[in-house]
Amino acid sequence: MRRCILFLFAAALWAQAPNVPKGKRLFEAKGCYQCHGWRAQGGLNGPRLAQTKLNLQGFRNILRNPPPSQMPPYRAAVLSDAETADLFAYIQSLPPPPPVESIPLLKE
Amino acid sequence: MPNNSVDRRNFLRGAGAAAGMAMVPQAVSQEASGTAKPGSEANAAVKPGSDFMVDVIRSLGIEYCAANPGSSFRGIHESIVNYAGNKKPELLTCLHEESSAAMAHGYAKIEGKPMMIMVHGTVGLQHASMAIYNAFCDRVPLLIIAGNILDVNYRRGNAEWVHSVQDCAAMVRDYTKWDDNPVSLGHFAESTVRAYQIAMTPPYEPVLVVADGKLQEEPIEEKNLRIPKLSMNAPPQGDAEGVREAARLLVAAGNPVIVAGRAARSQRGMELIVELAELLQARVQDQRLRMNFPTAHPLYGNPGVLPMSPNVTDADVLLALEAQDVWAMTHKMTPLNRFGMEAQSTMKPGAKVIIISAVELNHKSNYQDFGRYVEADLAITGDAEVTLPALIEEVKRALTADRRRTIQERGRKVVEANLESRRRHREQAAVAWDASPISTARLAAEIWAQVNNEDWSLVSWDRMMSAWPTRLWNFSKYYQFIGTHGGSGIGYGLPAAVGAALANKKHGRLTVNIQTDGDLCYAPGVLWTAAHHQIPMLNIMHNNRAYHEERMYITLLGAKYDRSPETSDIGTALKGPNIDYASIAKGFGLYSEGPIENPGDLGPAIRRGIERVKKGEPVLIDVVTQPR
Repeated sequence: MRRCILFLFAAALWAQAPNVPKGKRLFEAKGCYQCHGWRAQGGLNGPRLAQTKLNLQGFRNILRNPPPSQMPPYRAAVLSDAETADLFAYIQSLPPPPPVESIPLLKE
Repeated sequence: MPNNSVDRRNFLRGAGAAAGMAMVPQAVSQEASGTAKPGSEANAAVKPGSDFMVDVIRSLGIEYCAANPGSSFRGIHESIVNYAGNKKPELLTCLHEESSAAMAHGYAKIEGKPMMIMVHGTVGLQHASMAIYNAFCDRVPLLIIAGNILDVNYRRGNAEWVHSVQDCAAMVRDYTKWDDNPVSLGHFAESTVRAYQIAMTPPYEPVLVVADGKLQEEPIEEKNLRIPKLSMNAPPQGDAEGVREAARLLVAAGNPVIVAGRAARSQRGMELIVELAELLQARVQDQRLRMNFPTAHPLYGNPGVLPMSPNVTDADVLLALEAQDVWAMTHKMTPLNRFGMEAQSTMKPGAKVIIISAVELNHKSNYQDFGRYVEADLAITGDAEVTLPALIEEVKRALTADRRRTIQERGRKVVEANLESRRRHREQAAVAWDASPISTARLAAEIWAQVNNEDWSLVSWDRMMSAWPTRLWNFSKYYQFIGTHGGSGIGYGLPAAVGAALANKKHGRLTVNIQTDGDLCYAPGVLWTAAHHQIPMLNIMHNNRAYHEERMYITLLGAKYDRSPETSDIGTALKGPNIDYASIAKGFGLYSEGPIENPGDLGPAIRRGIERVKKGEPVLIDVVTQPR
C-alpha cells in the first residue's frame, strides 16, 4: 500500500514536472517563435527570451498581462499554468550563445 | 525631303546635349518644320506623330522606358526602337505593369530622376496602380505615359473599345501629382515637359500624360511644332523667419533630437544633416526611408529600435525633417495598440516640435497617407535638403561660446550611448548564430563579410529582418540605402531592386537585394527582365516561408479573444509545398543556388554569387531564414 502511494506521488510529480520537449512544441504551436525567433533570440518584433532573467512567476505574469505592445495576452484558456511551466522550461533549456569575441564575423 | 514632311534631325537638335545631363536636362527649344499629308500611309517621307513624341521624351534626358507591350502605345514603342534606335530611352521589356512602375520607383531613388513607363490607359494602368501608389507615398518621381484611343472612329474593334477610356488618369489621380490628356502633338510636348517639371519639384511625385493612339500613329500635320524649354523649379525653401526661430529653439535646447524621414535627396543632403547634428551634438533618429545619416556616426541614434517610430521621449526639442508620421513617434496608444484607442503624448512636458517638410505642398484628400494631424510648435513648409544650409547658418550664428561647451558635453553622452548600443547589437547577433533556419543576424553578417570591401548598394528594406544590416553594416554613402515601398504595397521589393540595380550598373556598383519570399511571388517575371537586360545584382532570399507580418497579426487577434493561435498558418504560410526560389530564378535565366539551410554553407554561396554578379549577371541565392 505504502509502495503504491509512493508510486502515485512520484507519478503525480512526474506529470507536473516541466516538460522541455512539450515546451518546445508549445513554443512553436502557440506562435511564440513568430516574434521571438525559433531559438527565442529576439528581434524587432519581440525581445530575446533565451537566457531570460525572469523566474517562472515573472514569466507567467508577462504572458498573462503583457505591457502595452504588440504582445497578445496569453490567458489560461490559451495556455494553462502547466503549459507556461513547460514553455518556461524550454526557454531555460536553450544553450547560451557563443562569446561574441569567438565569432570573427562579429568583430568591429 | 519634301517641304511637307517633318525633319527628325530638327526635332533632335539639343536633345543630344540634354541626354548627357545627369540630373536636369538643359533647356530644349526646337521647332519642327512642316506637316505631313493627311491620310497618307506607308510614306517613307512622312513621319508619325509618335516620332515627335519620342523627341519630346528624349529632350528630357529619359534613359529608360519600362513597358509590357500594348497596342494603345504601339506607335511610341515602334518609334523608340526604330526612329530613336532604342537609345535614351532604351525600352525595358517587362512582364507586368506593376513591375514597370516599381522598377521606375527603385531607379529614381538611386539616379535622382524619373524613368518613363508606358502602360495601356485601362488594363495596364490598373496593373500598375499599386506600384504608382507606392511611389506616391514614397515621394518618388515617375513619368507615366498611358496609351488610349479617344476618338471612336479610330477604334478598330472590341479590343480597342475595352482598352479605351474617357479619362484614364482618373484611376490614379488621387495618387499622382499631375496629369493631362493632350489633344495635339504640340499639347503633348507642352504637357510632357510640364509633367517632368512638376514631378521633379519637391515633393517629388509620379505624373501621367496620355498619349492618344491617333496622335501617335497619324502622320504629323501640325505646323511649327516645337518642344518647350524645360525650366526646372528651384525647390521650395523654408521661410527665413521660421528657420531663424528653429535655430534659436535648437541652440537653446537641453536635448534636441533630429528625426530624418525622406530628408536627404542626395549625398549632399546627407552631409548637411551630419553638419547640423555635429553643430548641435544632437542625436539623429533615421527612419531609414532614405539614406539620411551614416550608421557608424557616433551621433546615430538607437539603430536597434523600430526605425519608423523612433524613441524621442527624451527630446525637449524635436526637429522632424521630412519625417513620416510624427504623431506616432510622439504619442502612444493605450492600453494596447489599436485596442482602446486611447492616446497620450510621450513627449516631455513643454517639449517643442519643429517640422520642416515640403509634403504639405501636395496633400490629397482621399488616400490617407498624410497621417494624423500634428500639433507642431513650428511648422516650416519647405524642402528639408534645401532649407538645411540656411538652418545651419542660423544655428552657427546663434551659438555662443557657453552654449558650445554645454553642447559638447551633451554630445559625449550621445556617443557613449551609441557605442553601448553597437556593442549590444553584436552580442544579440551571436544568439542563434548556428541556428537553422538561419538567423537574420547571421544572414546580414555573412553578406557584410563579402561586400564590405566592394562599392556596394543595398536596395532592399531591412525591417523585415530586424534591421540587421542597419545594425551591423557601415552605411556611409547615399546610394547604399534607398528606404522602402512607401505605401506598404507588397510586390515592390523585387522590381524596385531591379530598377535600382539598373541605375547602379553604369556606376559599377555591386547591388545587393535581400529579397523577402512573399514579395517575390507577386510578379517574379521581373527576374527575367534582369536577365534579359543583363542587370547585375545579387538577390539573397530572406525566405521565412510565410507572409509573416500577417501571421503575427492572426496570432495576436486570436490570443486576444482566447482563441488558439495554432491556426495562424492558415492563409499566411507559404509551405506545403515549399516554394523553390532557386528553380524559379533558374527558369527565368538566372544563376541560382539554394535553398540553403545550413549557416555554414552561406558564405561560400555568397562568394560564388558575387563572382557571377561581377561578370554582369543577376544571381539569386535562396536562404531559409528565421521569421524576423
